[in-house]
Amino acid sequence: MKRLRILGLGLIFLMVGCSQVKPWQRATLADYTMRADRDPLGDKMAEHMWFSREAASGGKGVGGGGCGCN
Amino acid sequence: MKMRGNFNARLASYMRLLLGIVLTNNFWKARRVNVIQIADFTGALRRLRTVWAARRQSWGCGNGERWLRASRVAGWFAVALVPSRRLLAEDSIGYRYAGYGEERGRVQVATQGISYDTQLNSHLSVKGDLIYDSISGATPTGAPPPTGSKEVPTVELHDIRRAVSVAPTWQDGRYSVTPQFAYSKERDYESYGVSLNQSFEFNQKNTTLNVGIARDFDRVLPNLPATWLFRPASKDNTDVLVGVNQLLDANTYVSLNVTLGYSSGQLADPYKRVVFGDFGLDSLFQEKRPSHKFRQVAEVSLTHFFKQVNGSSELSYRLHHDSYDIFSHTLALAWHQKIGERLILTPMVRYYEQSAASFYYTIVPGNPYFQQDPEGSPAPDYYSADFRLARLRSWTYGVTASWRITHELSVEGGYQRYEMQGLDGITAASAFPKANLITGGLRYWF
Repeated sequence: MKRLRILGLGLIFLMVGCSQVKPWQRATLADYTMRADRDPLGDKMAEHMWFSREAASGGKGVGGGGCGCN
Repeated sequence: MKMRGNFNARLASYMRLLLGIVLTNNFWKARRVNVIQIADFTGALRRLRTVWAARRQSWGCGNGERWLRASRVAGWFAVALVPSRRLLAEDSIGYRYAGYGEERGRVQVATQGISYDTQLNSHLSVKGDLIYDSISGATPTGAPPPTGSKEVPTVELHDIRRAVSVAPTWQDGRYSVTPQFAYSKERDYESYGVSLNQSFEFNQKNTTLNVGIARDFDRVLPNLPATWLFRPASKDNTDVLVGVNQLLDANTYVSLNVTLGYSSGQLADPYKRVVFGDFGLDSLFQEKRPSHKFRQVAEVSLTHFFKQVNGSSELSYRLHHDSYDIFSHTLALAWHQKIGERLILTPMVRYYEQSAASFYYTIVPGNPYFQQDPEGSPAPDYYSADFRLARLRSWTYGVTASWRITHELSVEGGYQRYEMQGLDGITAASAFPKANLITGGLRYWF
């Protein structure tokens, strides 16, 4: 429990310690190449290839249903 | 001067947002448009203003700064009167093909998919996909190579997988919620999946907290004689995710996700067999895995845009552990290089390594009938010879090119090489696949 509190406090300090990015400074962050959702179908197909060959899966999100491949 | 500059930048941002709202009649779309696309024409406006101010000066019309300001306002209103397709282009529909082919006649998968993403009103958007997989080829049974051969025995498989998913998103202020429904059907497998993902923005929208839960209700179906399963068996899976996205500066953000997963039911693969040390290599038995699996996954990724070269990098690391005693590490790096206005090249490399499951054997020791026939030694509680549970590593590397032909249409193509290698020195090298993946597709924005 103590470790969790320390971890939580650390995360809060990390967030507060980061420089605030104002809305008008986010043109680069909104660039197509920076968007995590730019190619959901391509990501899904790539994850499916790895998921069906390897023991580990997931990490980026949850959902999408199951598969008989693994 | 600096304060004045900041004020002007802020004013310009608000004006762009207002313009986006006027054009899209949608605050959230306008907010995205504001930062994504309006930036494109601000450069053109700046050049126009410079030319205009210089012309006014040359005409002797007085203060160039005053005209600069006036032309800025005029420019905004002029653009506002001309609706632009680009500003509205957020909805899209896409098609994607992926051909995955393993060497030596192993598994071949041809995948076709259609994805869509559309904004229905100011709060509601829907995205989803339809996927059609055609699977053929052969997969290792789990038995070691016969004497005098290096090739592992395989079993033929042919199947069609049809999958559909739909995910509406409701966005209200800094909160969004996305339920998702997914269904897939194969000859030997059926899956119903539901999930609920929520996100909360705070810390002046510099931090996003993501929380998700997913549940799959699956059934493993018999496919005789290839499988040893005689009746449908249930297999359920539950995942819970907590994640944080944090902006670090105007060019960088970091994401951290922690996922806990629990699977139960028919976790053994009905295609996989084992051989026992007390019997010959020709005597195949069905594998036996625990009926529960608990897994923990942590993934962290760092995304940064390099303005000097007009490209961005995405570096990620994933740590996985499960109750099969498998630890795995995944390290991936992708580089998105913009070339001109329309072309993006994305080379990538991914390294994966895992330890073996505690019940992985190439030849299982003991006698599975020890209770009835106490000859030899008892077999372990669980056993599998599935190469995917062995100690192994894999490399994936390749490149994808995406070309925006027009504002509404883009095409892309790519190639990836996938190579898996065993690390235990016991499992036959031929069990581990090497494959080529060719992808192609197009997307239309409307």
